[in-house]
Amino acid sequence: MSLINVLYVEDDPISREVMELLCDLELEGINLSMFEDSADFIYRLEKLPAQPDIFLLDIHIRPIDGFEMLDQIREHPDFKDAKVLALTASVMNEEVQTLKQAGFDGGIAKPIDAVDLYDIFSRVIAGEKVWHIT
Amino acid sequence: MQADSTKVRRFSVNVKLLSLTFAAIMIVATVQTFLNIRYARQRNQVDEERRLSALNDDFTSQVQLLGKTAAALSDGFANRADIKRYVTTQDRWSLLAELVPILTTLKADYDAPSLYILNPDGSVFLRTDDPNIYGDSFVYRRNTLTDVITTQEIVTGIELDPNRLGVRAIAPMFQDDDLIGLVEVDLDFNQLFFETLKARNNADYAVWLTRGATTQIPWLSYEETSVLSSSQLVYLTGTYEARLPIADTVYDGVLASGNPRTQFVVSNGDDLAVWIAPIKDYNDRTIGIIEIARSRSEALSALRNDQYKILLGAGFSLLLALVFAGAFTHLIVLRPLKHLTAVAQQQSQGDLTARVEWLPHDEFGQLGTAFNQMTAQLARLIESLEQRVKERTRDLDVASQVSRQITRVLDLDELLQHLANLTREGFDLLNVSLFLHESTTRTFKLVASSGKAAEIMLNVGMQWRSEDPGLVALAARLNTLQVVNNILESDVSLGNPLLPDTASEAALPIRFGKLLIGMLHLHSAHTDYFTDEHVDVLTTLSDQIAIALRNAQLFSAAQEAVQEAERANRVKSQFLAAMSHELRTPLNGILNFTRFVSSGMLGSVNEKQVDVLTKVSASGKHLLALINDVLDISKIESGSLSLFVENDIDLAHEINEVVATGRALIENKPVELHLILDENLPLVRGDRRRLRQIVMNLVSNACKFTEEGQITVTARHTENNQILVSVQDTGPGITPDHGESIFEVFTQTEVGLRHGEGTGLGLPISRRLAEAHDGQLWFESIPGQGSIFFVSIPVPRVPVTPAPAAENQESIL
Repeated sequence: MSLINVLYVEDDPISREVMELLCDLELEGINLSMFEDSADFIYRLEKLPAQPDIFLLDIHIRPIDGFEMLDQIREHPDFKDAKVLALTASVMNEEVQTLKQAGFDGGIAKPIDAVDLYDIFSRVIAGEKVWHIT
Repeated sequence: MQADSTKVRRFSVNVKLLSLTFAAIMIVATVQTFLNIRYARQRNQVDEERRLSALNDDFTSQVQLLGKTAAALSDGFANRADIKRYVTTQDRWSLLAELVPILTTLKADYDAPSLYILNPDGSVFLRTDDPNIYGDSFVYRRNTLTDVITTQEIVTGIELDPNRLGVRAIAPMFQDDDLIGLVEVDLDFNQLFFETLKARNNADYAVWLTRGATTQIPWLSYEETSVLSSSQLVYLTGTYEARLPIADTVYDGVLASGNPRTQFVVSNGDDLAVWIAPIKDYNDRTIGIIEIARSRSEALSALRNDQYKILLGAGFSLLLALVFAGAFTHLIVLRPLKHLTAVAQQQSQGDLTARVEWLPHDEFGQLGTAFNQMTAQLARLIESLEQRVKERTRDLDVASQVSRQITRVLDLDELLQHLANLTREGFDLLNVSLFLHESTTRTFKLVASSGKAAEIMLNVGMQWRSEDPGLVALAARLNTLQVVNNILESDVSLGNPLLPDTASEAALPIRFGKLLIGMLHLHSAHTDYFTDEHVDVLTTLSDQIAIALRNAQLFSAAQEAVQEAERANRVKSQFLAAMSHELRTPLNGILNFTRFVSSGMLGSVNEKQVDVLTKVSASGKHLLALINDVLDISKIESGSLSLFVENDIDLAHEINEVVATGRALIENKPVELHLILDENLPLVRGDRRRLRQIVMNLVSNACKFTEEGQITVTARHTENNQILVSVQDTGPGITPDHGESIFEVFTQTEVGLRHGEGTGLGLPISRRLAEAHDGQLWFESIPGQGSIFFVSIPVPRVPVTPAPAAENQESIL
């Protein structure tokens, strides 16, 4: 099992803590980094010791939202191959459709179901688009 | 094209008239000519017959004359004393000397006269032509002689023999009453007679003897032959030799009857009239035939000349008649007709001022006058018709514009002003005012006005009550149309000082059914402006305005309702989206933290704590399910549920997973869960998550309500190309009084309620989701024994091929 580098951008401290505990206690092979906001996103991204294989982006976040972050990642030469997932509590079809059209590689709905997480990551890295919205 | 056909028509009238005249004259001339010719021919034949008959009489009288001459001569000689003496004395030569000079005298007047002195027995005493011959019996004269000797009277008659045609007379000679001798005088027909006949009458002739007459003893043959026939005829003398083409029967007839006949024949191109008469001897016996043929060619040619003259005359008359007819038709018929035609053409091209100016004192003059009157009438009619059409068109145009405006403009104030403008402009009115009734104040208030006084009246806010004076108030009071076509003669019209030019006015009620809702007040600058036709259209207009008012009111009410509904829906959607979002985030913490603790990863937990934490987790999950269901049902109810449609959904796979989940739910119950799947179930098209949600709902319900026994899940491909999934349980079943109510939102059975689980939304959502996939969801149940739920999902007609990258399509339920 190879190590997956994951960057989670989330302004809700509870959600960050859940993810941190998940990765510490239940999931193996995930190297998690987290931003509590999207300020200086690219700058901070470039400073990371390991380039993320997977981005987990909250959508409703400041100063720039998930869609803007997605665009910046896609435009950055170093992250062309990175996979970007939306982690959102907005699961209405219209909202999911917007995410798909924006070009996300997949989506995970809150509440997070720990059992599926590593599997989802693996499939996304393999090139599959995974929408785990339940 | 039109000019050509007109020309042809005019020409044809001319030709017809002339042809008719020509034909009539032709017929008359032909008939007359024919009759003339016929009559002339008949007359010519009668003439010829008469002429020939005269010739015959001539011939007969010549014969008689000749006979009398011969008789007189013979009698004279028989009574001469010297001749008697010489006979008595038998002094032949003296007698000869005496007779020769007489004979010479006779020869001067007659061809070949013969003078014989016979003995009483008939033998020859002296032949003057040959005195040396005497004493022979002369038997060929025996009959004649016998008669003379017997009767002792003179006998005279035609004598024919092969050599001559003439008469013979034999006279008895007496001496003291004793027959002493006979004197025979033969006189031939003078050749001159026939020549004269021919020259004078242009006639040829022929004399035919019967065969008997050609013999040397003709008298005998007379006795022997009782019936004479044409076959016995032998040509004796005449001016033509060939027999004419006359039938033998004609000769037979003449010979048998002894009566003459006339024949008309053509011989060698000559037209002949032929007289065929019998020749009779002194005893009235027919001994031959004389045939006189007279050429008719001259007469006929004269006749033909007459015919030509007649034809020429007819032709000339015809020509004259044609000229007269042409002139007549031209002068009397065609000229007036042409004139009429020209005028009619002018009129047909739209010039109704054209009039027939040439009016002779005849039928054409009357026709022209009538035509002029008709034209004038027509012009008046067309004028009035044009006027009426113009008015009607304008009226209808206004009405249709109003209708269009009614459907287009839905803002009431704008619409009413528009209608007022349209009505005024369309009907050329001075002013149009529209009042609406306000039931609270019982007043009619001006809401729209168009025209000279409109602005002032609107600014003033003109209003009145039905008990006020004036035409419009009267009309409102009576709830009927009121018209004053001349306000000077009316005691109702008040006269609006703002509209001093008003000459007539009309007031029309605007009604919903019988309810008066407003008034239309119209002012015109012309007297008698509001005719019945105008009023009809205006009434229709006021009805239209009523409809417009109703529509506008309904529309504004409906629009408000729609706007309200849309706003509420928007708020609801926003609320639901926010609620979902805001609830899911804390649930993320609750569910995950609970699991972290209960799993013992964060430190040891006792059994009691695990039990509590499990209940926390379950409650959290229930809450999440509730959130999802509420979200779903609200989307379904607002019609905004959307499916993520994929083409290659393997329902078997989904059912397997659902059943696996279901097994976890019955772990602690004596319930068996069976799964029976058809092999090779076809792929279906739909929303994978939603299809799974349906099956999950049915299986979890079965697991929830079945305390013991078994649950059987099946899936098969039906004959009508559907996948039919059934979930059968041995639970409590559903009583009939619940029936379809289990598909109603927030409805749970008592059992369901007792369970304290579920939202009451699962089945309604599932059914709607099945329907969204063009499928159905239904159940059968026996209370106390169990239930079986069915869901059918149609299989696409074209077998779906698994798409490598199933691009989701969205469809809205």
